Amino acid sequence: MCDILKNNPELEIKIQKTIRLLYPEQNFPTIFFPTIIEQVKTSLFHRIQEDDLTILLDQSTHLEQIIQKYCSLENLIDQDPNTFILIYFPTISSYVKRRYAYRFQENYEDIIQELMLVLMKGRLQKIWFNYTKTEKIVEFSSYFMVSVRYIIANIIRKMDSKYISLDQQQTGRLAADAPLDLMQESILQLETHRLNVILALYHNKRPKLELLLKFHFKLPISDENILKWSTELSDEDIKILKRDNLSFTRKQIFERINSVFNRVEEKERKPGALIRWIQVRINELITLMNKFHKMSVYDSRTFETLISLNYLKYDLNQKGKNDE
Amino acid sequence: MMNKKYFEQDHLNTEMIAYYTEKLKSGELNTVPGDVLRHVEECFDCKEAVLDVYTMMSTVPDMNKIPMEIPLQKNEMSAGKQGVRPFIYTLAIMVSFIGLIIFKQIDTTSNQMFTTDPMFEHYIESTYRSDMGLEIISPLIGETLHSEILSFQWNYEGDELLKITILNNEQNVVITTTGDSNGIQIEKSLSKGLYYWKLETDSNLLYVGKFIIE
Repeated sequence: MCDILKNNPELEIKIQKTIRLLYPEQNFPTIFFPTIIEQVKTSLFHRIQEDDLTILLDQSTHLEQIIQKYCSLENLIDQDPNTFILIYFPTISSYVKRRYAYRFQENYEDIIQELMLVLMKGRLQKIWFNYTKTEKIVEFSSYFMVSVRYIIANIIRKMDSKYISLDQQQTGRLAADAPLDLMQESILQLETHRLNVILALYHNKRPKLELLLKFHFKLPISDENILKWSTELSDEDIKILKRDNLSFTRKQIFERINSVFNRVEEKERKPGALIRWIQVRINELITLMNKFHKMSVYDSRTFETLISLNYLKYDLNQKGKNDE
Repeated sequence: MMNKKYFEQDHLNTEMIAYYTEKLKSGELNTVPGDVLRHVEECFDCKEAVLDVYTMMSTVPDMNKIPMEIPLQKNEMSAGKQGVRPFIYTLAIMVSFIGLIIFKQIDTTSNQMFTTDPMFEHYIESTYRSDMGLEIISPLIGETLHSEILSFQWNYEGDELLKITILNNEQNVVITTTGDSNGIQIEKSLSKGLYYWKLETDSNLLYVGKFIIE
């Protein structure tokens, strides 16, 4: 291949351009798949029939058809699944390492190994088949990643019981394994970005969640917090919600605000139910935030710091904007 | 009435997890069907699945740490897997061979001075405060600089003093100084390698980029 292309740079450019059209930057960004063009090109020259090679070398109008015939995503998965797996290998192995290296120590490589085996033994083609049956409203990459996650989850379930017991010990445990210096601006910025990605998952419940987080951690409540949650509050309700929280216990705060929440949500709950609701969500948030790290870095205390700094920063930015 | 085509065994199906994740990444959650949004609000498992896939799709692989072959050296394979072992070894050899060709370009950057730093790589992806009135003109991300005069150009509309810090790929600071609203030229001869640079105000990290000195 090298010799053919070395003597024909024009052909190489044409081939690369055509492959790029098959694997557009939008769907296969260079940052995640930096060698995709090279990999597909190599696969092409490994598999191309002599007749087709002649057409390719002639650089005729059929060149694009020939490349399409050998290099389309469908063809690659069907005829050269190993190259396809290799394209995704860096991303998958980085993910597995980050997610499981701490829990499984050096044995995390077993997960990667087993995953590759499963994919090579026909699962990849099955994933593609299932994808073709969908309405194709998503990119194959995303669909493939979700499927890979299922396979990894199955592999972990089947792994030795010692790992499973380790896993069980970790589930629900909220003590941090490693420190996290949230006072470093760059770390705080990354962590607040992650926090906001997670908060987005609560979508319509997010305003309620953020409001209760502020009550739970005794942070100042802004008009914006309240209005995002409900626009149908009386002046008296707003007064209740905006009262200073610092001099009250958490129980007292939730006893005070419970009536407002009951009115808005048309429920008849006791304050304890509201406390439990936010406590469950805080535990969820801590567990999800820890997923971005190799080991647990968040416990209740660190999480409180993150929440406080996140809102302090946000409120300061808002204040700056209002002052302008 | 819940739309059953989005669900499988009481959770979002593969397609919907992928769809939700794509929309989360592009900031278009409002276009996701209401049934799906409500389910994720309540379901921890689906939140976890979305976040996992989000992480997978946001993890920039460290190209210098990628093995040249799929790791298949372990001996703990069960008897059931023995049948595919020859195939795997063939694959490993083939992959190594292909790897040698594919990674030829990367060979030039394989020494430690050019090793990427995962933390900075993440920032390059996630940090760009265009809302703070900053536009970076040069160097582009990954651009090779040859001259002994390092030129950084940007347009900054804010009032705050900009601090520029240049770090090597081991996170050691090599230069730190301040720039005006248009950029700065720094006379300094840097040794070959990969460098990261960041622009900060007193309170915000505005930008992280990288360049190569050859």
